[in-house]
Amino acid sequence: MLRTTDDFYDWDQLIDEQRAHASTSIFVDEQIYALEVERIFNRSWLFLGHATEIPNPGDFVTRRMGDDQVILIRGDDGKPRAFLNQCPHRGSLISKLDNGNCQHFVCSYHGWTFNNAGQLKTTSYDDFYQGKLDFSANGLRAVAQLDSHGELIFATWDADAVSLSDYLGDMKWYLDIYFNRTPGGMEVLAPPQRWIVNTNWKLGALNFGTDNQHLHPTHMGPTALGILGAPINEVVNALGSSYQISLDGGHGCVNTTLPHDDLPYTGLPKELIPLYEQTLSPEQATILRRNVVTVGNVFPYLAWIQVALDTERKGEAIAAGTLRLWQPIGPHQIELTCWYLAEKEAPEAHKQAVLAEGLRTFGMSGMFEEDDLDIWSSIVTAGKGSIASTSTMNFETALNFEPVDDFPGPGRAYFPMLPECEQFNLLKHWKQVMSRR
Amino acid sequence: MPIPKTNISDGEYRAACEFLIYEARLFDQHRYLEWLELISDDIHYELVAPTVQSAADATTAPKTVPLFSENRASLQTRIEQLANPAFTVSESPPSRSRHFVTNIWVERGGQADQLAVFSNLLVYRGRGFDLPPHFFPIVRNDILNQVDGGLQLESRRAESDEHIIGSRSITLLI
Ligand code: FES
Ligand SMILES: [Fe+2]
Repeated sequence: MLRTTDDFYDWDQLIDEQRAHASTSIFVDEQIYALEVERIFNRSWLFLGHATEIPNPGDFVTRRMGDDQVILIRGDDGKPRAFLNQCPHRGSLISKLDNGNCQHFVCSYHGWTFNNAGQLKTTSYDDFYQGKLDFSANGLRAVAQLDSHGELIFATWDADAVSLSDYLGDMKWYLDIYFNRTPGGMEVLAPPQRWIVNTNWKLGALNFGTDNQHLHPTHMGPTALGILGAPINEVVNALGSSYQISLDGGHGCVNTTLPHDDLPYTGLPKELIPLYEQTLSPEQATILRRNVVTVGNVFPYLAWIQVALDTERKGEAIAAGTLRLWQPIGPHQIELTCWYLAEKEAPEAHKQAVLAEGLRTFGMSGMFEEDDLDIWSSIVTAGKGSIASTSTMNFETALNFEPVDDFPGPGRAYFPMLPECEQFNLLKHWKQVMSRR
Repeated sequence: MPIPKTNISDGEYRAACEFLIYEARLFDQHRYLEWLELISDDIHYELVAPTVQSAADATTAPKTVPLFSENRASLQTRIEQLANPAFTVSESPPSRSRHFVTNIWVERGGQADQLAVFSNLLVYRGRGFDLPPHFFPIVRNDILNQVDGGLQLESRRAESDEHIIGSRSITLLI
């Protein structure tokens, strides 16, 4: 059973749809965070990892779902499963590792032993139970549902949750452009970067889903250094002619695409172009062909960015992408978890370039990312004040724009991409989920 | 048993120490452009973080997480950003940093004119509002070239001791 707590919040006041304002308290309040764990993280489909992180039977990684520790493991039957990282006997962590491979987990406290499908095989003291212990009820606690979209593995604690496919809805169409675009699919290039940022997880979600007004003020520095892989006038051109996409379920993205085909597949390996065109629909392939930068956020907290980059400024673009989680650790902190990926079919040199360009720009030492993180930390520093937490955040530019109908992909498309439409839609979805008992 | 012989002269040991201490001072004084003059044109500069893996399972190759993967051109770009407050939000105002270099061990490098230098590094970084400050423990394996006029950094392979880095960013060099 999932825990449910009554609440006395005036959700319409916290997210004021008439004014397009949001209370600062939703980014700093301890009780609201506790409700988020219950109503969002314990009920949503949460990203656990990429299939290529656990390629072989017995491979596992340890992760979190909401505030719980979990193990994602591939069983001897080849199926991924996820379990609470907690011994059913007396509650110790089953694994203290980040990754590994095993046939059996042996609990280091009293020796209960589980196979890699989570079943209890022995307690080490089976005789003392005199045959009365129900082994089948004392395995590792499995998530309620686990499923994959392509190689992206998700799970939920909610047995009544809609299917993963329905949960992702139209977001699948966009996810596939960036993470499911060749027959072989993507591979992770390294274990994820993990680091601690003193901010609220929703500030990451809102930024990647999608804050486009910050691009110029926040990121002027690295942009002026000339490390984007497309000429700056073309990037400006693309920013001016692109749409932001708002999807049911609180998902959103931006595909910053050139209005022409003069720089096809900027930063992507030529060898892969036929594979993209055989895997994607013509509309999806057009977005990829014209893309110079894309960001998106899958509700609640899985985000991506892919940018054409040239940090060495040698006139060669590399389109480098990351997937990341705004993994909350309480209301005021996240463990940012960031994977770099490339197509399995890509030449080795391209994979290495994606990794290098990716971490130089987005990641804990990223020349763009460090500026976002500095600002998001400052919002929580300021917002924790008793006066400051009663202020509201302003999304009023969202009020003046309606979806347009000349965008070829699914969802509600807004033009231009700059107003705060999708960000406020994300908050409206947040309110809907949070006010549901 | 005696400790291994390093076959390094006092002068070589002293030169290696002075190199590391001087470069740390350049970092802490944000004199990055001067540091660029101390590195080789084909420098390989990387920082990785470990992942927590089983000690029992020696067959699995260690999985590490790259945090820096740099050559001279990308270091040049990073330094142009760090050196110019107009190009960085996160270093404007600049962080205070302090590089503490210890446990310096010098051996002969792969080539006769190279020194292999191992050092421990603790970097303090603090910047006003975002408390607490970060103490970043690192071990470095360097190759220094002995060239006319002194030593030059040929490669640096550094590893963090933290597997989850306790800071919002690394906006400095190590
Ligand atoms: S806590 Fe795991 S065996 Fe007792
Ligand atoms: Fe940003």
